[in-house]
Parts: sequence; structure tokens; C-alpha cells
Amino acid sequence: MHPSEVFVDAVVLHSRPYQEDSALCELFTAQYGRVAGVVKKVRGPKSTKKSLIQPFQGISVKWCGRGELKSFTQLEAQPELSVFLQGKAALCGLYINELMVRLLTHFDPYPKLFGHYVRCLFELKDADNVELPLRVFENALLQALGYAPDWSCHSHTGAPLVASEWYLFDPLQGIIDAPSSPGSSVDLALPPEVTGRSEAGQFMGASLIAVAAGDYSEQGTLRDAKRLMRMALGAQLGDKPLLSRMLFV
Amino acid sequence: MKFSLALGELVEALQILPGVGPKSAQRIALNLLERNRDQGLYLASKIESAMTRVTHCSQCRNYTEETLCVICASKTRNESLLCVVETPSDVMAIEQTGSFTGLYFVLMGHLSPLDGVGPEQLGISQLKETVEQRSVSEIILATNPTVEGEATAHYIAEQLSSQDGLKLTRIAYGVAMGGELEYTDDNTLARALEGRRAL
Repeated sequence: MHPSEVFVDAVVLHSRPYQEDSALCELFTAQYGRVAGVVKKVRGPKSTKKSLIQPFQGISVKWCGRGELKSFTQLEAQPELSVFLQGKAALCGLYINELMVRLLTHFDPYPKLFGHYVRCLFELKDADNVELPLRVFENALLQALGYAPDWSCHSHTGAPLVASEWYLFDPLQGIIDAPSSPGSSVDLALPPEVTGRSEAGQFMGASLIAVAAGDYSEQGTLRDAKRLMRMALGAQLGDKPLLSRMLFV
Repeated sequence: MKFSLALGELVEALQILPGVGPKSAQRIALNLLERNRDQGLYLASKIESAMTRVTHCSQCRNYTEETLCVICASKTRNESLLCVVETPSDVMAIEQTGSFTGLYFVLMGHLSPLDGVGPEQLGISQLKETVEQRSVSEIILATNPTVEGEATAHYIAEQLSSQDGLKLTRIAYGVAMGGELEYTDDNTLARALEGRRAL
């Protein structure tokens, strides 16, 4: 059934004013991936649907139109998918929404990622430590897009990693052997400012195995995971920095 | 119908106004030419004067052609109260209530990473300087009750939390005056219940 006939569940990623009283919205749906479109007359003084185009709002939506930019014809609240994020959780939510809009293309469905996304929002709402749901989601996003290697295996040999060994993460090659000592003259030319293994993009095998298993119980795994995800995401995001990261300084 | 060059350009130029499309632009242009030439010239001179002279107030960032806007320059306002709002029209809305006597700080927007609006564009560092230099005792964060407005309020509160003796408050959520619960949208009602207070 086409979305012009049946309601599709979606979460609002972003909306911006469009013309006098309409809005341009970016939605994330399980079946169709990221969908952009116009909601007409939603910002007028008499509109009762204003709160439905807020980020993180779960909605059921129908749309029509042939082009990439759809016309969202009907919007209803979908309370099971809705989260109201406040404070730091809202800043984190804006961060993952920025990631989604920057990395996902329109009409490329990722049904599993939709589950991860909604779970992350709900976990952010109640989290004492926002780092954990963020790392889990970043990893899920990278895996869904095919930008992440199997963190628990050597990318060249396929051999399982050794917990006590150091490895190098290279966004193009994956997990490879680390140079024997930092700054050594291995053909992977390290930048001159490199002073230690962390700065050189190196990780302990134990941390990578833990990230692969989704086990963040060990102290230091979250910290290493943050560094790892930043490197992996950074390679995909290119030169344009994420503006939402500035909100955490 | 083809217009003459000057008239065509006027019709096109009028369409930059919000809510004015080709039809309205044509109607306005013809009306000015037929009946209101003097008023048309008056309008043109006023637009030119405002566009070239109006800048931002050095203290609150609201629009003014002086260094300080009327509110910041007033001697009768309570300098220890500072209300942070998103737009100049929010200042006007609060001024109309007549219930606020303090000063304002206008962000000219809200944090929206996807639209390229970060702390720098909102003049947060200027706000911090203002608070440090003047004896402000309370900051009312009156950004809109949207996700981005909330995030902006939270960010500002975090940035100013190190200031000793500064009280940070947020405007309340609620049901509109004279409204009925039955016709209030779900999200507003949920927030109103969350933000209930003891009597």
C-alpha cells in the first residue's frame, strides 16, 4: 500500500519554516528511511498540529507527490514513538538528528536502524550518563550504513583480535596492526604532533572487542569508543564539522 | 499581460514581502500607481531609511538606529532583571503585557545545528559579557517552548551557571487563558500536568 493510502510511522528529525505558515520537515521512517516534505498551514495561529513537527516527535503520516520532496497530507500523533527530551538529552538528540540528516540519503530504508534510533531517544530521556546510548547508536548507524568494519577482527587477515595487543584504526582499511611503537618509522606515516598511541588512532584489542560485543562495563571502553566513533564518523562527514558538537564544549 | 520594465520590476520586488505572491504584488503596484503615488514615495523613502539606518542595539541586540535601543536607554527599567528572547517580535509581545519592567537580550534565533545556527550566531558570548559587567540578579529564559527553544535555554543556563548569585528561571508551560482542556493539544496538556504547582 502506498503512503498516500495508509499511515506510515515516523519520527521528526528536523523542521524549518517554509513560506508564510508551512514547514519543511525531515522525517525518519522504518519502511522508507529518511523522507523530506512540506506540511502546509501547520504554523498558522489556528493550527493544532504545531507540536507534531517538533524534533523527536513520533507521528503517523500520509504523503503524496512524485518528486523527492513530498507533500505530507495527514499527520497524527504517535505517542508510542514520541519522546520529550529536555536539557542535555535534547542537545544529544539534536546531535544524533544532525548525524542522521548528514549521513542518510532520502528513500534509503534502514528498518533496523529505526529501532536503534527510537531506543536511543528513549534511553537518552532517562539516562544518567548520556554517553552510553550515544555510543551504541553511533555504532548502529555506522554498521547500518556499512561504514564500520567488524570491530573484533583484523580487517586484513580476518583473525580475531588479541585483547592485550594494540591495533590501529584506519577509516579506509579498518582494524590493522599498530606500528611497534608510537612514532616509529613504519610506512603508516604518523603526523609529527603525535605523542601517544591514543592520538595516533590506536586502540587496545580489549576495547575493540568490547565495542563489538556492545559491552561497555569496563572502565575506559566508553572513552575509547568515543574516540573510535569520532574517527569513523569523521571520515564520512568530511570537512564540514558537526555544529551540534559545539554545544558540548 | 506584459508590464512596462519599471512596473514589472516593482511587481517582482514586492514579492519579496512575506505572504505576497504575484497576484497581490500586481494589485499593490497598480493601486500605488493609480491612487497612492505620494504614499508610494513615502513608503519607498521609509524603507530606504530603515534599511540603511537600523542596526542592532549594542546591549540587547534588538533593532535600533541608535547605539542603545529605547528600552536599554530607559532610566526607569529594572536593570537586575534580564529576559532572554528569540526575536524582536517576542520583545514586543512581552512589552504588550505591561507586566515586565526589566531589560531584554534578543538572540535573533535559536540553536539549530541543521540550519547552521550555533552559539556564535546567537551572541551567547555577548550575553555572558553583559551578565558579568552589569549587576543582573535574575535571567528569565523566555525562548519558545519548542525543542530547539528548550535546548537553547538549557545551553544558556549551562553557560551562565558559574555566575555567583545569579538566578536562572524558565517561563512556564501551560494551557492558554480562557482555553478548554478538551481542545488543548496532547503535548501542551502533558507539559501542563508535568509543570503543575501547589496551591
